[in-house]
Amino acid sequence: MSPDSASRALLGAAALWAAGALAFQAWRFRGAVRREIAEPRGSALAGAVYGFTAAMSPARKESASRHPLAFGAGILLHLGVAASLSIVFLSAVAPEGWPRLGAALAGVSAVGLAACVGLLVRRLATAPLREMSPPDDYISNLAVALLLASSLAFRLDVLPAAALQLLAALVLLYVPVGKLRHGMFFFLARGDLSLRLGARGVYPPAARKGGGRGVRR
Amino acid sequence: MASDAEARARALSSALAALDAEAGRQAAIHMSACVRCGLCGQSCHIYRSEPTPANLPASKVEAVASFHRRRHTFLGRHAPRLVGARDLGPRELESLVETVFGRCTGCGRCSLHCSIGLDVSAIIRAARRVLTKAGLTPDGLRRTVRTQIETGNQMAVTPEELRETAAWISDELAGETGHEGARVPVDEAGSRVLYLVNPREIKFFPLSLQAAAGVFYAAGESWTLSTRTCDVTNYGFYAVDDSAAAELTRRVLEEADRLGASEVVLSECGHGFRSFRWEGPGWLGERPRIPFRSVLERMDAWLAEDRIPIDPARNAAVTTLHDPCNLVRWGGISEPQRNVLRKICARFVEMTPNRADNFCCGGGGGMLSMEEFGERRVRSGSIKAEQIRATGARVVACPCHNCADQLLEITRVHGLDVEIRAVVEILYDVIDWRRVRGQTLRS
Repeated sequence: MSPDSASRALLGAAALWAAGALAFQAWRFRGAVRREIAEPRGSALAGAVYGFTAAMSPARKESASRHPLAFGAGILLHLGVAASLSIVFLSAVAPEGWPRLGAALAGVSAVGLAACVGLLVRRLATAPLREMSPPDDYISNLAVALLLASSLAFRLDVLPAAALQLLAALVLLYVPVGKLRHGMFFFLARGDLSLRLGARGVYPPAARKGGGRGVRR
Repeated sequence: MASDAEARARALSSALAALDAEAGRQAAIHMSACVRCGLCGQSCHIYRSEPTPANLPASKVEAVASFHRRRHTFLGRHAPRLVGARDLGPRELESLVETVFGRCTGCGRCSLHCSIGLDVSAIIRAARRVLTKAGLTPDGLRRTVRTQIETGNQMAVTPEELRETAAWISDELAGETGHEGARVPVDEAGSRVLYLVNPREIKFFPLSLQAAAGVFYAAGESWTLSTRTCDVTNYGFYAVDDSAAAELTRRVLEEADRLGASEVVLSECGHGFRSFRWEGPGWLGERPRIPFRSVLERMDAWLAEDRIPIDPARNAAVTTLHDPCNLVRWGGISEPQRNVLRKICARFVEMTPNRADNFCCGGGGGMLSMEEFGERRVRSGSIKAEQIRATGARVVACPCHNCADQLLEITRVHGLDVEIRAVVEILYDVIDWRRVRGQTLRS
């Protein structure tokens, strides 16, 4: 087996591990997200749709509107992760193809890397965050930074594909056991809350006569 | 000493068993999703009024989640320090009591504004359940639950006391309205509605009950109080003592059956509404035979149907509205009270923010029954006090007796010259009694 084939195989195995372990964790909670027994006042489905769309906009979410820098950095970081994973995927299936797309993805990864470093600095510099952060927070941050940096380095021809795939495999191995598993739990948590608030008629907010919602920004 | 040690060991053992029982439940999902971004602080009234790290919602989540992680995650079991997983011991249990009973009212505002969408309240309630099973509920709260279970209501109002109060309120009501038929019915089988009140209305705020009786009469509603179960509150909900909460819910349904009522109407009470309307079916494991409705929904419907003749000019004071968290953010009742107030107040102004974005007054989560956290409770009400001040209102409509107690205290502390009133009291004041038909419609 050539080094390239071996790294691709390892990457595939790590991806399977990550997906399988996350799926197993989700399966353990199969009974936890339950429909309200009480007669609904609204629509759980409409609540879920709202919860994953408008409710996440800065106009509706103080974690975004009151912290535009951190919120913006978070968005850029996640876009960067998506771009980096795409680069890793392309490196395995079409290493010579899609040069323009690869360049664009590298740009997004670079911005994501800057955001990732910014969020790490924020965590280190903010006392309440620093106090409650276990090593996992820093490991997760650095793992993502590693993924972003290595995919960027690959696109800049500084890192061979096999090395990128090995590093990405390392990150994927950590995903289901540390904080990065929020990539799956985010959907479960927001879905659970939104379904419940939808059934209760809280989500989406009703059309109002007079007196706005008045979210203070 | 040995018995103390034994008691502590028993408490810990019960707590660990309860913690394990939470592992596959809803709260564990939310515990597993927190990224500790710390963007939640400004959405929490307690953190904003006392910005210490321990009051940050994410810190409270972490305080609970770290114990869960220790027992139910791979790295938590094998490399606890790496993921901040901690063993739950006697000292940790004590510290957890303050975190989940004294630093969070479970208002849920941070959840709506969380970057992930964590139900922080579900996590806090899971931890309260663990502590309650370990016998570590704060004394004031535990006593109130016990009183409610033993006497049928949280203030130990006796049947005789209720009948006497109802009798003199009936006399007052008839005299004030000029309608002999206006009264407070008690234990009347065949009434369409069983009405539940906060026992404070019987003991300390009879005008609230009198107003409700007047409104029921003006609307021609057939209703009754019950001496067996009159209480709209459910302190089992606050303590997260599920068996007590279920028992209190079951008693009301049995009494409604006994009296032949086809609807239970709940007096203005945030957690009472949430308990009976939303959590009760979960505690009982089935949907109740008859509906639970807030009196706010009933008043809204009666006014929409023109069943109550009113003269809004009688209420010229600038009036604002407090949104109780359990009624609005967790109960979905935000518009009925507004519909009513717009009809009965000449000048109604909104607080900012409002509805599901309202700030907790600080009196939620059973805080009023836990004296040890009183100082923080009052301090955390400062945001609500500023909201009220900014409206310039002279009257604050407050559809929750718990919140009303807190608002009375914080407006006094902050020197606000406002009157705290139930919505039903404001409606009662504008009823045009000359146009009331005086017929009681029977089902």
